[in-house]
Amino acid sequence: MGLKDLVANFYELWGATYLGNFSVLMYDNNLYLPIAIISIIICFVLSATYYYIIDRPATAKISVWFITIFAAAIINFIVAFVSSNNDITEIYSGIGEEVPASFISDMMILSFVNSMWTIILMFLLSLLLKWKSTNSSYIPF
Amino acid sequence: MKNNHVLIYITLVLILIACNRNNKTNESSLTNEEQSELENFIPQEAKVKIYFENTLSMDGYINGNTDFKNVLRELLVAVDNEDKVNFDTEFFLVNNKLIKENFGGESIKITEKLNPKSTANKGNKGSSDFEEIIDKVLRNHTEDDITIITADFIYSPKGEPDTPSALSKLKTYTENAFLKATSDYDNLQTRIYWFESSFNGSYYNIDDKGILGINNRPYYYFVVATSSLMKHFEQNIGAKLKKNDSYQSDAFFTTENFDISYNILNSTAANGKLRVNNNGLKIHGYPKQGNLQFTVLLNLKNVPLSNDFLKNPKNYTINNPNFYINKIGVVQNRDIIFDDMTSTKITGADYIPIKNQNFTHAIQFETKGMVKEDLKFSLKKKIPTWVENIHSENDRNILSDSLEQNKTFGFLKLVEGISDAYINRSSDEYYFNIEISIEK
Repeated sequence: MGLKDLVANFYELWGATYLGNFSVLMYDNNLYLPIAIISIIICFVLSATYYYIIDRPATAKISVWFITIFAAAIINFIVAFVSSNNDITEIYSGIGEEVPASFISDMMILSFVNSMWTIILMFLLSLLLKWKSTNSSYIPF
Repeated sequence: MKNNHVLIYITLVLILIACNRNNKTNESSLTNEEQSELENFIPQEAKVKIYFENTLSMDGYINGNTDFKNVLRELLVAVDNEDKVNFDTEFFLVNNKLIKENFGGESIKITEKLNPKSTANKGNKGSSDFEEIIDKVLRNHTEDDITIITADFIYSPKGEPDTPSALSKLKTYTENAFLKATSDYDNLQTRIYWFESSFNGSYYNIDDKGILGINNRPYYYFVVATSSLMKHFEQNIGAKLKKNDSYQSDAFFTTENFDISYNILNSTAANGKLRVNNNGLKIHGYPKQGNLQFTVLLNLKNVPLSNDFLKNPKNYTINNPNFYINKIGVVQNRDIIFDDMTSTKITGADYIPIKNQNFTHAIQFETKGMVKEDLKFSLKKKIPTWVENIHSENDRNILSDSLEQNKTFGFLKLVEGISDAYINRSSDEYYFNIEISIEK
């Protein structure tokens, strides 16, 4: 199994969110991978920002940590939606057609899945990065 | 605080990059068609040798102005006007003798002179030994020839009481003649064109009894040539003859196997959750209603078989009993028109990766239950069903039996002889084989 298949499995949840034509286009044109890379970078940047750059007693609260994770989820939702929409629109313009209306809900599902993985990754990164934080080493626990 | 601004800026830049990234779609690779076109070398000069079976049973086809003569005239004119190859036409009368004849005029005017009177006393018109005729004609064939035998191909058992045995002899000797010919020329091909003609003469039945009153009869062109010349003939001359109202169908024989490009469709004319990957198929989910279905597009442009043959599911063999062919259609632009006259537009998602490729046919497969093995399917080198339909083994009641009037005594055995010879010389008994891996 190559990287392309591995990433597709994460976004299609091993078939549970396989969405027919939309998933086929995303997979065939290798559109999952860039979304994954950008999303991972955003997770790293926001986690590092919270633990090492902001890192103040006032932000060392579980509520601020939740807000950071929520912000990452929203940003990556937008990344997945806009990126897939732009790419698929461009592909369809090559054959002079509009993107099928049903693809909008497919893009929403993809974006929700991306947000879900963002929350999981942010949590795992928190466990890795918190130890060297001056003020937030006990966040989330 | 300054650091925070930098991080927010970096994040926004990343979002913008993600959203405006240029997409790279899969560019479909070109097919090998252009390359194969280059490989099909055609000689600049070639001979078209037309053999007319000069027997009494053929007199009805050349008595007056008949459909037979119209088609022959079209053939002569088409050959004469062919630009790419400088064809030299030779006309022969063949029975127990092989006589080159032009009736003292131009080749394109032969039909004006061809009649029972002008062909009388040219060999023995009472002899129609096809084993001998075919053997004689094929021996006269050279590499740059297009050999055309035109005849009614009614086998005469010459009073032999055991008809099956006589027909078996016909098949064996015909096979022998074609085995010899195909051993001399590797890529020798044969195409049979079936025509119907008005008929003004005597029909000679199994007992060699002349019967009057039959107004229409089938006849055939057996065209023999090497593959490049055969392709050229079919595209430039055969295609014109096929436009004649009297044309019925054709059959083709070759030792060649063909490489076929194909593409499996994810969602068009499909039932179930499927994903195509490297021309294999992954089944994500079986449909809630009905059987799993999927469609394979094929480019059969270079397979020189009739559409009737290509669209007949009985001509395909499938290794896996889970699968069967539900229907076959032709591809026109982005539409698939199936035999049941239903039309399906290829979805955008399926069309995007193949927009620069050409496909001519579509086969919809259906499964019985869960799929356990890969799918292998092949187009079998077999005799078209029309040959079986027009074969007769008893023509004694031809005058009262209108169906019998459209049949040819012993024809299937003659064609079986040709078919067996080609299958014997072929490395594979299929025109093409396609294997699709199935991931469960």
